[in-house]
Amino acid sequence: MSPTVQTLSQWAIWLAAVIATVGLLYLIRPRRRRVTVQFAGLWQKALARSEAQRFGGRWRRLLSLLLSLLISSTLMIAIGEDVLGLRSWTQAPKHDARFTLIVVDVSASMATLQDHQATKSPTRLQRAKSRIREMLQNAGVFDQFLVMSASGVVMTHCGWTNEIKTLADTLNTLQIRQGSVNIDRVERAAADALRGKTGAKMVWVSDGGHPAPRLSLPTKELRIGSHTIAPSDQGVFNLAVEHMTLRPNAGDPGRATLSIKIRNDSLIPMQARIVIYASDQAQSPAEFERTKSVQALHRLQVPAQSTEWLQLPNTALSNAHYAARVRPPATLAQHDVATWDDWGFVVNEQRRRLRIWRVGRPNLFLDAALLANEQLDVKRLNEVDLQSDFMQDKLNNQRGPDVVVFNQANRPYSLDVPSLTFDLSLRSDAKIVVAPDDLIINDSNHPVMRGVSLHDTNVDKVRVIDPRPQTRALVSIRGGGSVIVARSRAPREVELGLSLQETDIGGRYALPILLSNALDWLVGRSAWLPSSLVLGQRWSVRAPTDISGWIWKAPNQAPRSARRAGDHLIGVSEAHGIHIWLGPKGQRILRATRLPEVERPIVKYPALSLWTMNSTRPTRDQSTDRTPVWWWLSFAVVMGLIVEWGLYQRRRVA
Amino acid sequence: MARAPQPKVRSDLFDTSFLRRVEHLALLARRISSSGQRANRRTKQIGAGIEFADHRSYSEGDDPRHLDWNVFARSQKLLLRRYEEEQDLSVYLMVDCSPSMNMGPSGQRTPFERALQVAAALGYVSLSNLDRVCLVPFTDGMARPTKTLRGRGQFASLLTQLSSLSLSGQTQLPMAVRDLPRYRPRRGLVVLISDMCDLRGVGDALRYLSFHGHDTLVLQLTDAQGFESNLWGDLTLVDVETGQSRDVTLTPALLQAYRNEYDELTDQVQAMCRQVGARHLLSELSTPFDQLVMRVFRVGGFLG
Repeated sequence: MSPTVQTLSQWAIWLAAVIATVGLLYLIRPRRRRVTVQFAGLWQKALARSEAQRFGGRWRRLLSLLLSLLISSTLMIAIGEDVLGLRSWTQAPKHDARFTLIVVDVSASMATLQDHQATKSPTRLQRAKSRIREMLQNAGVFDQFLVMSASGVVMTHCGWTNEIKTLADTLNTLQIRQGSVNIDRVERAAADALRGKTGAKMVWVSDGGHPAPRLSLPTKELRIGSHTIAPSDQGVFNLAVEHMTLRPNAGDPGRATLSIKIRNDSLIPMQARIVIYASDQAQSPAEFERTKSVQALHRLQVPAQSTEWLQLPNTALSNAHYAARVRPPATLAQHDVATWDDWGFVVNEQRRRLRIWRVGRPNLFLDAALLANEQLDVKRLNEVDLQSDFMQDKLNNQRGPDVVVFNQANRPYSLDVPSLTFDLSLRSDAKIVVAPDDLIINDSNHPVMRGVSLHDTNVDKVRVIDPRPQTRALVSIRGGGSVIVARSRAPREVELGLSLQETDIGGRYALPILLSNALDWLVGRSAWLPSSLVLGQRWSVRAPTDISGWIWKAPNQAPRSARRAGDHLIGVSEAHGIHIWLGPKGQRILRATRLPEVERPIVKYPALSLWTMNSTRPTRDQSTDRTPVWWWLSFAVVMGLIVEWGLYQRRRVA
Repeated sequence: MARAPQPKVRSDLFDTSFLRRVEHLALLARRISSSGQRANRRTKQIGAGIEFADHRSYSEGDDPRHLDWNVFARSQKLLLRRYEEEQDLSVYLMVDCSPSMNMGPSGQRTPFERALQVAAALGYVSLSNLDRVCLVPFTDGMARPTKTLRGRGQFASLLTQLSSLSLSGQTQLPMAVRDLPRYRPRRGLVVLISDMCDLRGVGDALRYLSFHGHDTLVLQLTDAQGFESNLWGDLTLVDVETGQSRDVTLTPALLQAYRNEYDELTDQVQAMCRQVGARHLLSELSTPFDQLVMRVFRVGGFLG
């Protein structure tokens, strides 16, 4: 017999045994005695009464009553929705509804773990969401909610609604954003949302790191409830690079002082670990870490809730981009709530290479001054070559020159590139012989003339430049007449009525300084002491020229058009890294910076709010000829009670 | 043509001792007389009796022989004298013949047997009073009433009729009562002997009898105590009349609920009787027969 057959036979035996056991149990099962009674209906009633007198039976009766009332009420409302005109009550927001604005703090500190010892502790934002959900569950039918999130920017996530599911979905979409809360914006957004709402309430859900907003006159009877998610004495474990500057040493352009301002948001002093990165290409934290460009490590003790400077003098300016990353001590490193503000960036403007076309006659002093600056790529051209179509196309190309330097050459009239012109007209009647002390610097604070001294400079002859619109005389001669003028309107121009051959200015320090200043001013590098950037903030930079079509390039993001407001360019920093302003042709015109100059104030205006728009459907309050809803509800309840009592009596009699 | 066999009297019910007890009970009854065609039982009818009842105003068409001239002489008012008419009473003995009447404790009389004995006793007394006695067995409808008996000599016939009754069908009192005026239109005393387990339509039936002028006595025979004594645990209760079954687990709580339901049923029967002016007598099977019959005599007015 094969093993398979053996196995099957064993199974058959087991199966037969089981069947026999089941059959035997079935045969000997306890059977019910059959008893003949006079009237089974009496037993039926006794069973029903016994069932009803049980604890569950009583509650079932009560539940039956409640269910019947609920059905009656629902039917009445459903009928009333169309017949009695209650649709507005069920759908349209009522003026007397309770409006609750929920503003959730989604700033970096809300990422703090509630329990620092637990690895799976919920964050403060998760706690905030759960608190809000509890509040929504306890809300009434008439309550209308609006959810806003606040960090550097304030966002509205849904309209006024009383649907719990919609609000729950909205809460799920809230995420931590970079930056801290801008209370001023919160107040303005809340005032806009609550305008016209009577009896409104605002719930500020935060970890206590920011004061609750104080709305001045947005609405009547406004109540602001503040929900603190975490005890304030825990503080926020966070170290941030608040400021980072790079100041070249005087007389030593190859070295600079790197200053890093570290902020400690915690309630305890912390020893900050600072890593200095340097790279020529990296523009974002990921790129700096990927290129392994660590240059130095430093430690700095930062007092609680204070700032401390780290000064690194004589830093070699060997790279274009510098970054610093600060970390808390190793024991608290995992609790740093905002990793994105651990980074600071700065650009070594000295490493910025400019493309210079020098057109015209060669001059030893000029060429020496240009060659002395390592940041310049100088290309020499004849005046005739510049007139060719090929060079004209190249001139206006994206890879064209940043500045064109003319020396004893005619400057084309339609030149869209910033230019520096040394020109002493060959016409003798235009020359004026001046004494050394006849040159007067009109504006020594102008970027072009900063640090330039013309004292005891023998210029011999100058050419007086006719005044033109939007030009400024930087240097003039005694008795009138401009010699050095600067035109700030795009394209910028600096014109000198001097000849490098017929003056001794070329042999003085003034020429390289003047040349460097002029080139910096022409390309917009006038202010080169950077400051930090706060993410989420909207910044504006004064545009150096009137050229439109500026491009704002954020790290790891595609270039996009920068908004222009007046003479400012506006952008919102959403990523952490080195931001670059590009010209209309894609070339770097402005300094590569993430360092704004002026924060553009937001104009207060009476906002058109969606929530103040009148609905075409009349609200229940506006309708005076309709029976109040509470009357119908009461009627439904009374009718339900009467029906239930009647049914009870009928059951009792039967 | 062969005659049908004459049904015999059930000797187990109507034996010599029973007859002796009935005779004894009848002697206890007062006002037993043999007054010819006129019985001595007062009725509500006003007519040709000799017992003065009251006066009423004369109206055109009345028989002037009934004018009370003495009153006219004193008050100048024409008034008629009215008398209570004394008639013989029709006693309808309605016996429930449904199978539920056969349920009872072992070793004792079943409700049906007790009903037959009570009916026999009532019939004997009524026949002795020269009342008309008619046996009306019923289940889901009224069987054709037996021949109306009159006089003590018809007692044997009554026993024969009672012995011929058998159990069948399902109790439906309204159907049974509905046919009574059709066969026996004369109003009288209706003695309804039943266990009254099914109250469906009982109220209507009693009102129907009252509407037709019957004086009703309901004798309810119960056996609630005997049922509870020997039943526990998981049971299948089968209705003796309908055959419907229901599985129950008999617990003290359920027994108490059943007892409450039975009490409530009895209260409802009493309430229904009270509403229509009928008399109600509740009797346990354990009650001695003599005591039961005397109570029936007293409640039913057989003793005057």
